[in-house]
Amino acid sequence: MNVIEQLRHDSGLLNSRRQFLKSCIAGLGTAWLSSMKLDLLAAEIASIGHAGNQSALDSHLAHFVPRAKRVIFLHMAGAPSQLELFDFKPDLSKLDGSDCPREFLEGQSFAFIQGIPKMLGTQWPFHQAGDHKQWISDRLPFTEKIIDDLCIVRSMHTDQFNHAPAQLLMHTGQTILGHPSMGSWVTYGLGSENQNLPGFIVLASGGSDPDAGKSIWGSGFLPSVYQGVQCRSEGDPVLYLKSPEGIPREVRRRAIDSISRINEKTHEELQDPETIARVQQYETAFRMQIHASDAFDMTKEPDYIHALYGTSPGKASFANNCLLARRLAERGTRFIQLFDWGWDSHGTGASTDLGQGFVDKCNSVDRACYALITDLKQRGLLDDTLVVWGGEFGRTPMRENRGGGEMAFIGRDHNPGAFTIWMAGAGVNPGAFGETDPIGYRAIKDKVSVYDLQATILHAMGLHHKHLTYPFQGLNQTLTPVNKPARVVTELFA
Amino acid sequence: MSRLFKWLLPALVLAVLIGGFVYSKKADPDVAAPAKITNEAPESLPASAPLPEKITFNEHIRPILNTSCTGCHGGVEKSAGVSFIYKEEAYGVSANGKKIIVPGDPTNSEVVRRITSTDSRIIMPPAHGEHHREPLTPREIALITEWIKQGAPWEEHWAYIPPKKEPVETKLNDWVRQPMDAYVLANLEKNSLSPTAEAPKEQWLRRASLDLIGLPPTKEELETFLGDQSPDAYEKTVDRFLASPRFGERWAAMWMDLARYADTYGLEKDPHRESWPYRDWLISSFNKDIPFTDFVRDQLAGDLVEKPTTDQLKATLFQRLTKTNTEGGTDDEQFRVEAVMDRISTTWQVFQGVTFGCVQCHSHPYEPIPHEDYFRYMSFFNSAEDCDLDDDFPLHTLADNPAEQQKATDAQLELNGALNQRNRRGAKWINHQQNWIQPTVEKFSVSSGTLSENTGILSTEGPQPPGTSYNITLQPPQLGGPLTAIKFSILPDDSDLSKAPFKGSVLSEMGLAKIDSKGVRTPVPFSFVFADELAGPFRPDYSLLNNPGGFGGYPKLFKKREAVFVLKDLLPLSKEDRLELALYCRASTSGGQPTTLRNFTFHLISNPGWKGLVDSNEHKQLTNRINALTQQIAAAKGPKFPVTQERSKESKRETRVWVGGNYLNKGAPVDPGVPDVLNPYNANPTTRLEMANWMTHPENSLLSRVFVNRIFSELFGNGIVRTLGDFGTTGLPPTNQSLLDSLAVAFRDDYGWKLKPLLKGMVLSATYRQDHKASPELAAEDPKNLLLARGPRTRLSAEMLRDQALLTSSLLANRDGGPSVMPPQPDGIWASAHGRKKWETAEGPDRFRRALYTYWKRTAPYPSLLTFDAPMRDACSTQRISTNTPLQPLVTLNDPAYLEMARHLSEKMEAAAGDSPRDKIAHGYLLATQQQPTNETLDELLSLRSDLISEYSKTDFKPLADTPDKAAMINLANVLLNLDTALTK
Repeated sequence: MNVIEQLRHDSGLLNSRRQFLKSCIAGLGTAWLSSMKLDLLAAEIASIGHAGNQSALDSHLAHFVPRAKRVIFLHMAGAPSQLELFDFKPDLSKLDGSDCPREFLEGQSFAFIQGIPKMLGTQWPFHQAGDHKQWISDRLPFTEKIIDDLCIVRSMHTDQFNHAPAQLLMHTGQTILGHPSMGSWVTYGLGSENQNLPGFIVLASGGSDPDAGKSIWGSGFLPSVYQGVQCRSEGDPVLYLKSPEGIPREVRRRAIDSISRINEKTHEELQDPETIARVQQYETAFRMQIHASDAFDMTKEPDYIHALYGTSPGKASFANNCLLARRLAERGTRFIQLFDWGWDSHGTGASTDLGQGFVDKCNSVDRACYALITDLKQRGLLDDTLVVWGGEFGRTPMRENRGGGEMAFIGRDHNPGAFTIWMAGAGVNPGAFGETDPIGYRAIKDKVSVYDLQATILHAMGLHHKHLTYPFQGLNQTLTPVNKPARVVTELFA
Repeated sequence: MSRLFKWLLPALVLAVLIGGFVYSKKADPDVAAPAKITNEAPESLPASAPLPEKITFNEHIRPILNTSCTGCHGGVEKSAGVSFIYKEEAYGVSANGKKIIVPGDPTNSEVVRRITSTDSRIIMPPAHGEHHREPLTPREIALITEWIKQGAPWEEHWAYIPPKKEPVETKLNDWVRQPMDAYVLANLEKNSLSPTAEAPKEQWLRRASLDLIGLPPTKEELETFLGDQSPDAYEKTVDRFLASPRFGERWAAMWMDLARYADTYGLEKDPHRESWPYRDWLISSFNKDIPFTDFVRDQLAGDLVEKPTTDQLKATLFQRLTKTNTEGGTDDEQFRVEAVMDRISTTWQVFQGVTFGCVQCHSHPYEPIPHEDYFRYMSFFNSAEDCDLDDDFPLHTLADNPAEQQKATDAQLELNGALNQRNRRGAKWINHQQNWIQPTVEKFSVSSGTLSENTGILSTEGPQPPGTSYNITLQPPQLGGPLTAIKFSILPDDSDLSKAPFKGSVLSEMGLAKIDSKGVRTPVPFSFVFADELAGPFRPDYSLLNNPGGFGGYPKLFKKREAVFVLKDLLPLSKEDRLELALYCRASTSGGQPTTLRNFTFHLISNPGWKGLVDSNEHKQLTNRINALTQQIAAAKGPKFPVTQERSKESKRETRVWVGGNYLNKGAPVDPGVPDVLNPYNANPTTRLEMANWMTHPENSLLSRVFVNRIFSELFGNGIVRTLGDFGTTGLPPTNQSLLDSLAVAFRDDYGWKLKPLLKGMVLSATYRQDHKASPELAAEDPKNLLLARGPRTRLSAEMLRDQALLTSSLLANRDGGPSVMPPQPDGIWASAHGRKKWETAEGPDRFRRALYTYWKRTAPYPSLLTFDAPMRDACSTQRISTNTPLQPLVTLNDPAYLEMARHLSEKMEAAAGDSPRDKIAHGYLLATQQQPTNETLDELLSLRSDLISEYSKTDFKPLADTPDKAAMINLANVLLNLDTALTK
């Protein structure tokens, strides 16, 4: 093949890929990436064939019709107990109060359990609900109403049993810092649908931020343009969004006009492409001041919507964030990451007791989860929005015995061997998936690792976890580590 | 196969493709190449073009292999026993006996048979299956065939061959001001380009000032320079910059990304860490211009040099800036090991520009570095004392009074030495005495869980929380004399030490009593405890005190540990006497994980030498000295910073290969060492210090190249190797290797590894002095300015933006060093972060310090710096990728900090000489950009002013200023600080 043929060939590949992506994603904005556009294009051409897998990539892509245009990830930091919510274990209740069999303890690391702990039966009654007769406890009466929309994965497992590394693993695919989060990867791969809003938005319920800090929505080695933008329901929703007092919109408009005109002259004289990109960014920033403020202004919602979610505007809460998530989903935000907190039910005090604090936590998210799914559905958004709910690991079927003795409150320790998440929207298969052993200690059937989940989420977005790469430290890096197996769990989708 | 596009990117294709939005799914970070570039890979030429006369491996063959072959036939997979990483392997035979490459004989080379085959089952690269690749082009096949015909001469990767200064010929010799210019010019001439005219003086001054000291010139500095017509005006100015105390601050800011500098631990509660002495050491080292080799050595091994200075210990904070996890219930070993791995990967990226992380799991896929080398290298770092403890142990006290710092350092180092010296007097006897006798264990009990005995070894079961106590009654054997000492041994949980480390096991206190035949109980005091080795945060003699620390393995047990408890007085024992021991375990790790006893045993001895040891003058003198030093250190008031400290030689941790990169699956032990390919000078380091000396050896092909390349990229916008942290075969090749090598050689040989002369040569070069204005043609041809046919033009860094605005508004508080400060940031950034420390917004001058002094909390860094591409500093960042996003204008337009600066700038504008608004605005423009505005610009700004005044006549100006005029001027100042000209240099 000579060079011209080569060019045609490669540009053909590129075009078909662009065509493909364009047909999947309407209205991708340029402004956010404008200064990088040229580089990325060049890099794309440069990389065709460079790593060798081009045609494999192409054919894989051709198989992918994205099921979702956006993701809403509801992370329950601290790790909710699957044994009190979705993973019904009657056998465990029979063992309640007995010594944990030795074989469950050998070779295991626990955060706090010592010696021989007691088994702890489920603390709340379960029943079957919905068309698929799914088990659910009585703690989530609202979630129960949408149970026929949920794909409940009971066979999740992870590698880590401490919060910070497990959260890093869940969101960046690595336990060490410095790697991009899933939202960064997705926006890197797909861009944003709305140029007046960040493509990757993070909302925290207040209380405590996740243990791993902002690194779990950081862009790692990807350019910082892909980092999650933490937005708030108190103060400016986006940092520095509001013009200072005394600078009304007309003044700002006029000032930006001058900045742009002077910058355009500068560009004419110096021909620096970054200058012209900057002109665009000032325009976008100006528009964002309106659009983002509007997106985050939930007072515009009618009363019945507030009643549905149980929202109270003006303060940070999970319910408020769910409503904001829907408003952002409507506006084309690609990846909306919610963090809730306080799920670490060790039983070291009332707030982490499975009979007290845990119940409050359930109450604080139950209605909002139901409202979010219901609201997305009634707006026709659920079909192309993937909603994921879950923590970073599960909890032990053993009762925590911190210090080796019986504790005043009832709690469970960290368990990387089994946990439950649910997914909704984007054509997921309703019903339960996977099984744990009879005491809910380890996933045993249709196991889904955190890496599998990541590959599956990317897949739903039309991205292949092996082929969404970025070269760093001599490797084409991926979200799921190159040395870990990751499987797209296609069975989760209809 | 089509690496060509990296080098040959026809504008035509760009024009066709750029029409839509393009987002890469597979992208080099930043790899736009200009249309022309001199080192274009010849294999990118059409097949019909003649082959080069001499085919070279690095230029022609390696790129083909890396693209199409090494993925399967390399360091990781070595399919069919074939690898192209090492010469010996490539010239060898495959698993089924085929000669892979036969120099001079293509016909008998299997590789040629496979790449030319028409049989789809034989052809390489494979046409089908998981590993299939595009077939090689006819030209690539011809190149490989011809290369083999020419004898298949092998070459090491360019970066592993030491740099040499190559002579260079140019036509336009008059243009050359500095040696580097000739190399730039030669490259331009090769590409039929000519340099751009010299920049106006003010443009050069702004650029040089920001590049060298991170601040723009003041109006006075500008006027002085413009008025100075002397031939050495430029040089004098550069010398002034290099002598400025602000110089060190600018370059420290750069290095802090590499060192992942932060003022906190990094995770969860993310507590405060006294890191700033390292930052101050950086500043002072850059200001003093210490040779780079010393700078490197002190960061890697400043603690191991003879008589380290306080500064050298501060330098070792470089390694302690890894994260420490204080989360409850964590496994300290996991995070200790992660810190060690972070140090390895950081060290290689920063100093060597080689990616080493992948060797953790397997041999390097693309570089000649075998798997075992990772662990050989790890052993240099594996015996540092730190082990993820909540208090960041070990710490070093930095005396508040600078005059006393060295004395305090000396005392702390001497204390360590004296403790070891005192302990070693006994330690050598612990293992060498033969006459230890194991007593019979008669009775035993434990306060929690159960205890059992087997052949004198006691083992526990069940939960033993901190505070567990053990009571043991021993029946003494015939000792042949009075009892003088008891040896207490903690046994590992498994005799297979590849399973180590085990949970910690610490004896916090041991009490002894004699029970005679009548049941009378007499307490027996101990005088001292000797241990087999000293390591970790506790001293063995803590076991004689009532505190949680004591003797044992903490936070982990790596092997059998032994201590000898010496009796104060000789204790004669009759047959009926019994010894009663009361043992207490009070220590625990993060989150209350107990480190109690699990397997232990006792031995008795009657050798009077033990008492003699403790009663000796030498012991007493050492003890007195230890006590005096301890007091002296306690009296030294000042912050305690984490320091790198090597464990004593007896307590070095064993390093083993991790099978598959899993730290829980250990293979054979290894000795320390460095990769052969980077050690042609046969330095065979065995300690961290020797390793540092290996790295700073003048024949190291990477150290000077990597550093000068980084400095070059700071000044010229791009590195000559654009992947600053990757000089390996997967990094980008240099755009101008002879330029890079000439700089690397000059840095080493001519400048004595000093940064200031290197910088001076660069900023005084004709290349740097060019105007940064581009013709549309040049901008199209070389948009990234890789060839440097014009002066550099880059956006200010996050730090420079803040510092410039502070200086321009006369708010900048130039104070040297000290703890990090908390300038205003939006409310709530820290509100929900874990940990108790609050952001307490500084008042007074600390509000207006340079950006590098801003408190850096890793889990919630200062937001406006992040927006301008500062990395999180959670891991080493070798390169900031400059972005241009709408969040950036939101900062410079709306951040109250920027508004405050605009307000002050507007006051300076109001106070300017000349009454007319035009003069005031021109004055502000000059302050913000160091340039005179054009009339057109002034007209624009004047019309903005009048429009804003009329706007403010309709709207409330009060929140901003007391008159519409002033409100308009604040907006104008804000506009000036937002102009492209003000944001770039």
